[in-house]
Amino acid sequence: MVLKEKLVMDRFAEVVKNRHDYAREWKQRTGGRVMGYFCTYMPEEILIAAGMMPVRILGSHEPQDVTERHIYSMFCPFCRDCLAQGLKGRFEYLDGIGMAHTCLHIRQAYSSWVLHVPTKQNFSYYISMPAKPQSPRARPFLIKELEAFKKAVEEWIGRPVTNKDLDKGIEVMNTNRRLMRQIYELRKADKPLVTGTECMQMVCASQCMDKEEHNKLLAEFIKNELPKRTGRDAGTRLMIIGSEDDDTEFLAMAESLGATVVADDHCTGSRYFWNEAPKSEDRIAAIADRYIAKVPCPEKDWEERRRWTHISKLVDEYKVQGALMIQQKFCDPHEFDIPPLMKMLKEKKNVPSLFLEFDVTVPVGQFRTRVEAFLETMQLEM
Amino acid sequence: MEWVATWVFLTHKWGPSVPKTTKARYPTKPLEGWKHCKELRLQHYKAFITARDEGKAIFTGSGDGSQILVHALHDSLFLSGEPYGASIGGDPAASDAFSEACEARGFARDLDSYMRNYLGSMYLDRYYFGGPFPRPDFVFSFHVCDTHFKWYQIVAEHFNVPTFGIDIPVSGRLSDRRESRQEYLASQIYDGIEWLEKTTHRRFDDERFIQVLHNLTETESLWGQICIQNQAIPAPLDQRALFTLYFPGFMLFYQPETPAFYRELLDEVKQRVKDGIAAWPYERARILHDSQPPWHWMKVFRIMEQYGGVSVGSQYAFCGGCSFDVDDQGVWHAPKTIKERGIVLQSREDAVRFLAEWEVGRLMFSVFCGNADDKNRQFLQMVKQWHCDGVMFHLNRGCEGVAQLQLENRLAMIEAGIPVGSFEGNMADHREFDEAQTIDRIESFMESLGLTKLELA
Repeated sequence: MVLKEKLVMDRFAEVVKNRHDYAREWKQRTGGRVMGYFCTYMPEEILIAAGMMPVRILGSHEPQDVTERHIYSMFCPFCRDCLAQGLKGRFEYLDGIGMAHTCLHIRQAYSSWVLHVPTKQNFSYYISMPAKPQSPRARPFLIKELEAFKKAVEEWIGRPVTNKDLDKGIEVMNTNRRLMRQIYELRKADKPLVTGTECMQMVCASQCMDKEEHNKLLAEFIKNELPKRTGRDAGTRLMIIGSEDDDTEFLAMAESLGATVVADDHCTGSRYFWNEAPKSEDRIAAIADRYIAKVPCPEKDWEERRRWTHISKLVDEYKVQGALMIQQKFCDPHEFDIPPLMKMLKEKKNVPSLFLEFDVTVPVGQFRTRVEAFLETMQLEM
Repeated sequence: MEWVATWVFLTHKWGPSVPKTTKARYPTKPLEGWKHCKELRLQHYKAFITARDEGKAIFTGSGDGSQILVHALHDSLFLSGEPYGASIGGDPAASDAFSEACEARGFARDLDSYMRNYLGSMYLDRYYFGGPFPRPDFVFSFHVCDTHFKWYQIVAEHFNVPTFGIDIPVSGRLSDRRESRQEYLASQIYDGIEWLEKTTHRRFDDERFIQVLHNLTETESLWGQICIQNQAIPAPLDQRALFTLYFPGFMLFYQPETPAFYRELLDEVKQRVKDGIAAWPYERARILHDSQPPWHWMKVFRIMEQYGGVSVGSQYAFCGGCSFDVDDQGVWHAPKTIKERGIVLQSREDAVRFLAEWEVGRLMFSVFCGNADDKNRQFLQMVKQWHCDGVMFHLNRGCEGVAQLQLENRLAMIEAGIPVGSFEGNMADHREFDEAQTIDRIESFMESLGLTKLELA
């Protein structure tokens, strides 16, 4: 993949588009293992410490007909799209596959993957990530789960994962998080220096490429490319909120209508990287702390609604004027949260919302009309 | 592939060997315990109407285990959302009104149909069994399915009442890191007990807690024995009966009337087996059912019966009310009671440890595991032990939790040469049910088993 001549954000887009080629080249270049994972509760720190490249399983936004016999059609299109990638052999380079317990939809993609999609080294692992991270009992339990996972990884690679290795894993992940937050900060400006589409590409690229290389590119962007940017007229300042969403085509369309997506609450956005692992002598405990304190997916956000706090803060800091509620069809956790969330945004933040139901492919024309109408209504009110 | 598997199946050891006939093959008679069971259920729901006047605290939450702790408090009632939503689901007119009231508030139509019925009843302030919706004083719920606590989070916010949830941890397989998961659950149970006392200002009675656990295991053991009796040919009970009879065990295990009722029922079922009394006198093929039934259209089982097919059970009916013991060969046995296990519960610590172990080991939770192996093995075992000729999957759009892995289970059955059929529906929302198509699907499946429609008088 020839990337060097391109600007960093274009390189991110290129990696996302050609992520399988990237991973294969990485394997060839480094001789390292590639571990696929579902959802963003997988402790990538441990995988990086073990010298692996973790890659998130994402879909391809193409209609498919290979999952019908494995996952019933009432489950979310994203989980079926993910499984389709495995069944079609697109992740044939994976050495192992894993997941940390999250929603029942994506869990089925993992389950079917383990049964029907062989990995190179036949390694699979399911971490029992607590569903109630708010419980003080979740932390000690997760520490044990991560210790067991680390042990399984050590047995797999045939060597111990030392504290030094873990320090590296934590540092690489924390640097990545810090740099991406730094870039997100640019969206607070009246004339944002980056678009929502670029940010989504950046985060998706982070999920499917070598983190150290991603870090270098982020640093390069901040040092060399950012000073040359002049920012754009933000227009209406939007936030996107909801289910898994890597639909950059939709986002680019929305941002072409006189609006800029300045913030998000997505697992392909801020939820993925917002908090860092704290410093601690006990590295596994530090990693557990990070995932316990992570901005929660709705599935893990009870009894208290801590996600609301994160969203409200983003609304204030990024001066959000309207929200697009992105709902993957059949995504239960978000279906529970969206009605009270829309109410909260309207009543407490005076932020109107537009609800959009997504599938693997979206009708851009129809959505364009709806987003335009939403923006026009907002402009009238403003 | 399905048809090939069916042919192989029928021409080998599994196939129904009984000649086609429209003559009744077995005697039958109504179940004597039926009326009593219905009364127990109705008493339970009616109790909420007078609960306030009687000074009782009302709790609400998921049906899975939460009430074991709640009933250690004196004078408490527990409105479990799932059975309540199922009751409404059996009445299409009520279900329409309630689910539409929920959907009108922005909740998606594809969410759990029990939940939509329950929330609609709450929003309209109409209790299905009469009067206004029983306003809970507290929300206290176990959580093993994504739906569980998200549902009661909405309830707690609606009534602005205190809330506490306990996470039942699931892993890749039921056996994975079980001790650690038990410890996690136990630690939360202690927190739950502390919360209950602090929030309700009621004393958590350890003796009562231990007694509830004794009742629980006795009830589950008896229910397990009743289910085991259904391995007999002809089956003394059918699936419709099982779905009704499991209610006391699932919901009312804490009261001594329940094990007493099940003891009587077990005696009656044993007698039916001894006398060869069948649930359906024309039994020619035995079907394992999967998932909750469409409560609004229990006729699904009648269609099978018209062909001599008897649904003899399901993981939901068996395991929803019972945590079977599984031996080294994978054989299911009715679980032993606390006493039969030689365990003496003398303290809260003993009781909490026992409860955590019991809950984490529930076979029903295999559906929530990250690997289909456990549930696949369970299906194969049920088919074997209950002498089933095929499996009918209700692809249940109303319950994502139980519908998980269904298609993988289906594939595993096909691979094992077991005939499978399926129909699509929704356990508690008749709007997602196509009667004509369902009849077609079931009839085709029955015919694929080599059965023809009986000519019944």
